[in-house]
Amino acid sequence: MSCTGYIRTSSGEEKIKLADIANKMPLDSFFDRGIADDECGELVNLVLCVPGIDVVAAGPSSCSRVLYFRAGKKGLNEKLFLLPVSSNDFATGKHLEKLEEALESLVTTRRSKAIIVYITCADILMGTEFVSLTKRIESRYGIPVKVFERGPLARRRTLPKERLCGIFVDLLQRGVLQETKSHINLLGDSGKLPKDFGLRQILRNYCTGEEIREFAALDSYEEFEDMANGKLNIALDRFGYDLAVRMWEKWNIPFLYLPACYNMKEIKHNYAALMEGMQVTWDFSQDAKEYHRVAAEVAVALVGKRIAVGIGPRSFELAQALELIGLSVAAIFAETVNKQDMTYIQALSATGSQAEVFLVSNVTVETQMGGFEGIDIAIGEKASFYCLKAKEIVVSADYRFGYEGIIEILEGMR
Amino acid sequence: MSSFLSRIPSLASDYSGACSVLLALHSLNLLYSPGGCSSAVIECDEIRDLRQTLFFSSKLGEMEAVMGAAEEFLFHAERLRAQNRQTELIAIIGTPVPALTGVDIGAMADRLSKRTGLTVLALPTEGFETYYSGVYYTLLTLGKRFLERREKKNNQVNIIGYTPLSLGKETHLTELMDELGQCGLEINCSPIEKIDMKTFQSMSSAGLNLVVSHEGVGLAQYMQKEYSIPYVMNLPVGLWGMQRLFQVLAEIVDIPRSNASKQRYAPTGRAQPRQRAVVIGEPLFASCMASCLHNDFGLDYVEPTSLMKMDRRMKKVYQEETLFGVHLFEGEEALGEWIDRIQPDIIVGDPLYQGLLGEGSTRYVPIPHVGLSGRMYADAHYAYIGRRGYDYLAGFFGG
Repeated sequence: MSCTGYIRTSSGEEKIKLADIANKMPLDSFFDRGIADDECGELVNLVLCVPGIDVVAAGPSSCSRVLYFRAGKKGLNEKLFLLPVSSNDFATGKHLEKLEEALESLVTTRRSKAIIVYITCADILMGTEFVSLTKRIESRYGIPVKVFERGPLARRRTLPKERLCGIFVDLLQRGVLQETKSHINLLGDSGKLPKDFGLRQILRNYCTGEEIREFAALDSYEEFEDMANGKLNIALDRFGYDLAVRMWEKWNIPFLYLPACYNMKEIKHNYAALMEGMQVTWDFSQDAKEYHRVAAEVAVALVGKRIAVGIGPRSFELAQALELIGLSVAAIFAETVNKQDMTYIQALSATGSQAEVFLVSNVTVETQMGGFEGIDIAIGEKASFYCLKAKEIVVSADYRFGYEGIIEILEGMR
Repeated sequence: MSSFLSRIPSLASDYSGACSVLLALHSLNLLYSPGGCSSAVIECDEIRDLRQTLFFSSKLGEMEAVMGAAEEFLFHAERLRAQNRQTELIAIIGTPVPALTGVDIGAMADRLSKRTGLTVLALPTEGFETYYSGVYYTLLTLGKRFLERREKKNNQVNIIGYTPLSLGKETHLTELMDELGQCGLEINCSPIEKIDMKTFQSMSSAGLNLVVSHEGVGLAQYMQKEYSIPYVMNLPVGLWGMQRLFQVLAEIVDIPRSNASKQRYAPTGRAQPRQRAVVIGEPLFASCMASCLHNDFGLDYVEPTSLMKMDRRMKKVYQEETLFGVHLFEGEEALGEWIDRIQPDIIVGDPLYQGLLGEGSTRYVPIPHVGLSGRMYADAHYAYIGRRGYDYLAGFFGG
């Protein structure tokens, strides 16, 4: 196996053999190179997509600016309000007075159903106390006001999406009724499912009696609250899974976890889990046939082509799926390598993959200038950043069920 | 709604400004940050190709952020330098967390300089100020660290203060570069090229500094004091701007008089004296655009404005005569109210400012300001300099 990885080591060593990586897990770097990420479910959009919830982002202007553009990309900045805080205000705590005034004006002018205040590393470091402020607003106006700690510092304690789940569960608590309704909730952070996509069609065909509620496409705050009374949750990603687990723990709502995947075994498992969970059977061999048809065509069309994969956390999974089809993955760009990746790294090794692994932050300019000339196709932002002459394939962050994700990538590679 | 809440984004921050200056150099740029701060630069503020740069951000845990992580930072910075030998300098750039915890970025820079033998700039930006401060401070720091006395070359002109944050893509400046070149002037620190340190250092031999944004004035003032190089603040917006520029140039450097002739830059459209206009943007841009609208299109009433928080370190800049007429607003509510009172027929500015306007018949002339709207409109078709700028504006003013 010739896979090699670029890691940070105290000896200044730049390359190590893949076999050694297992002993040095998790691999990470102290510095991140400035490369755009592939589109990802953004925390602020997760909140803004719920009707009736307004977001106030309080912090240094540099921090809130990013939120504006992320929300803007999804057309959600109508409900985002920025409260830029100066260094003087931080030092004197004056920003709390401003925040209180801002929250009061928001609840009186906009009839918000709930407000989530996003705070940054600056307040986390200062240990600013928000509870009394939010309680005052809650008791005065009767609407929930929650504080969400965002930013990389908070990330080290619990995952931001886990904390956000906690906030959503608190808000859902108000909507709990005695009776269970017949709707099915789709829980995920990647936005509304497109009309013609597989999971939506399956649900439409097999759940004729049930209403489907998508977290990312609710019509009202009341619908959001009513999610607590659903009969089944289908979690589409990690956020959905965390929320589903909490809803199961609190209100006994059963759930299915169907994360998007590229690996055939896991795809088949998802089909089986969905059928079992919904207590129906159907023949999904047509989907599999379509996948095999596309895969065979692409494998023939791309004989001898060298592929680079750099799509973020699932790069190894995708690389292995492509190798199984018979494609040649020459480079994998990863920001970190963790235990979950090892399954795919070992599978790649077992099949004799010639892929080289690059930790993106450690790639030198010399390597960048000369090392990636022979790559024909670059999948994902990290790969296309380095492989200048390769055909660039952008991978959508939208949810794809079954074979849709891998088929979409293969179609793009042709 | 509360005056504290904002519906448009803040201007890019001071560390984005610092990065914007440094990305034009062969510099290893290291952001001291818990990790998320680089998103502002990567996702919003930097419109150039990041492949051409070495821009890294640290990832600090909570303990490291609170207790400081200077030694680890320096250790890995040294390794990055060893891996990227072609860099000519290193910059350590601050963000809100080191500002709040009191990290001594200057001391870190000194230590890294000793270890690597390279000049290491300490840029203690905080993320609380605007990019204007960051650009101003970084240019000034570079000037103080690298410039040295050189023999004068009277036909050399430096262009100072260009960053995409204030002036958009570098292609907007090609007409200016062409015109200066045709006059036989040698342009140093061209906005359209990566600048090596040798080129940067040769700035001190110039006969003139042409300052194209107010944040560039600090370096020009420093160079005037230290190297007796005069400067002019002029972004040549429209035909009038170009004419004025060459009139001023003719007084200072040796160029053919014909380049400054009125005929060469005579507007072709008709005047619109009864129109009232407001220009919103970077202060020098706003001022020069207002002059263009007044002189090229005959508008009697044009008010240049800028939405910005003043930085006390830049107080000498605000005293420049060119900026006297610019109305400065700290908050969008005050700007919105002022516009409501003025009731202009035309507003020239970034498309995001349209969100501040009420219903009405005001015509809007979009000139994106990357420092405000980031990448959103950076690729839009627009122009403001010289003939191309005039033609673009004439499309709105019926010229």
